[in-house]
Amino acid sequence: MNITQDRLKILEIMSSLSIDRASRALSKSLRTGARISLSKISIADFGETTEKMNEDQREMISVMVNFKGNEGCKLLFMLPLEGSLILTDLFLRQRIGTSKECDVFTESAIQELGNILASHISNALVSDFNAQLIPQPPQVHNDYAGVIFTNLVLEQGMIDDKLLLIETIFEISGTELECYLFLVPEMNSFVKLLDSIGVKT
Amino acid sequence: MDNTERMITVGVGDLKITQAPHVLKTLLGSCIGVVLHDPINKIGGLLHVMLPRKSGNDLKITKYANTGLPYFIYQMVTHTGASRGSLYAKIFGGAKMFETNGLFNIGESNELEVRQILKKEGIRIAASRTGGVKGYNILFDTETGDVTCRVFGESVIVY
Amino acid sequence: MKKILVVDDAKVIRMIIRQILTRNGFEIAGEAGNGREALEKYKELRPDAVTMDIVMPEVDGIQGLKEIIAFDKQAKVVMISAIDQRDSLVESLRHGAADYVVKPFEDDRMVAAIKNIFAKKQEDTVGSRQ
Repeated sequence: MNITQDRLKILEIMSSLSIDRASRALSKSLRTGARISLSKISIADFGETTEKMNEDQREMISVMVNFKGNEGCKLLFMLPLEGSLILTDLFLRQRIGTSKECDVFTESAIQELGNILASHISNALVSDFNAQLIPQPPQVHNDYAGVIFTNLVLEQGMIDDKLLLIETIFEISGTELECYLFLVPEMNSFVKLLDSIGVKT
Repeated sequence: MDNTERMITVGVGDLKITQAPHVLKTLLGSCIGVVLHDPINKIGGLLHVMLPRKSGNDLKITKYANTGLPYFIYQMVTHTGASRGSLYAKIFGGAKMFETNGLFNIGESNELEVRQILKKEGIRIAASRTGGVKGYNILFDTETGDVTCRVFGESVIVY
Repeated sequence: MKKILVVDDAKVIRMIIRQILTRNGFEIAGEAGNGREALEKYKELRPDAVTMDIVMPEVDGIQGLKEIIAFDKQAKVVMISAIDQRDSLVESLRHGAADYVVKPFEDDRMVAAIKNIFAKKQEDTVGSRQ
């Protein structure tokens, strides 16, 4: 997997702008300050990255979204099961502590938050960079963090030992929620997109 | 050596070989975790098999059952001094994970390939827990050969 | 009381829309989780209007819209989606959507979209009598 530093830099700017957009949409959905910021975009080693994630053996709820169109990408949003209760309360405009256990409403709230994050990321890429991609219906799954992460990157791992990975820092004000949000863009299609908008470094 | 120092995590498609008192751990979805143990020398390894067969040229051989397992056995015997005659295997994982990749039940294919290769190599499978739809959390103690396995949402079982 | 069919694959969104609309004097005719169910429910319940999500499993909202309009040219369908893209908007309008609301939405915006439909409908009726 080869990409120049200049191109990686442009991808970083694209990612930051789209994550900002998703962050604003999330704040509006939860009616509280949600701040998602880019922490790292890198060409990561498949084995090392999955090893790091396999250290996290917490039980998580996750939502994964595939994007369809000229540009391929996957999004994963996951958080510990107990954290999802807080997000559900915020989303349903209930007092925190109202949701007591993970049920169909928790799953549905996480599913919808995944949809909102993915949609607004694609909205930004489409309007700002002429990308063509649209999210597919989100899939919710409960499992260990490392297992969920592996499922996200498995397809990439079949064709390469490296993967293009976008990591974020995710904060929701007034809570100590620890959430993961990852994006795995399909590199060739994004390189073509950079070409088409005139970034040929 | 405290508990965390004893623990070694294995990534997807990786192989780690160590000896007592170390404990190898990993998480498995559709992947198969193969542990090989030499109880006499207390040497053990964990291979995290991602796919049944190697297709590309440049990819890491430990990702695949057909290249990774023979390499694993070779490493155990020639580089760590494990005795081939005393080696036994335990296998875990191979779940049918949710369909985001459009990949048809890789877990099952992984398991079939692993079982066939171990049979061909003449290595006995002393214990196994495979299939299902949820992830596996396994800890392999190279001292005893015990594998502590917890399938997501279930209780812990030692194999 | 006007009856609304609420279509979204997320149960929580159906619940939120239900709460907002009933608070504002509408009745919920029923709910559906994708475009195919939407058409079935539309035929069965004959609602006065439909709120329609776009990204849904099996049959998406644009297809659901097309099929409902094919069945009933007068159907009033408001698209409610997090997709805020020109292609999606244009395609919805081209196939007869009455309005397009972007998620996350303010309650007022969603209620206004539904109220406008019936305001327009009345104007049309008045117009045709003249």
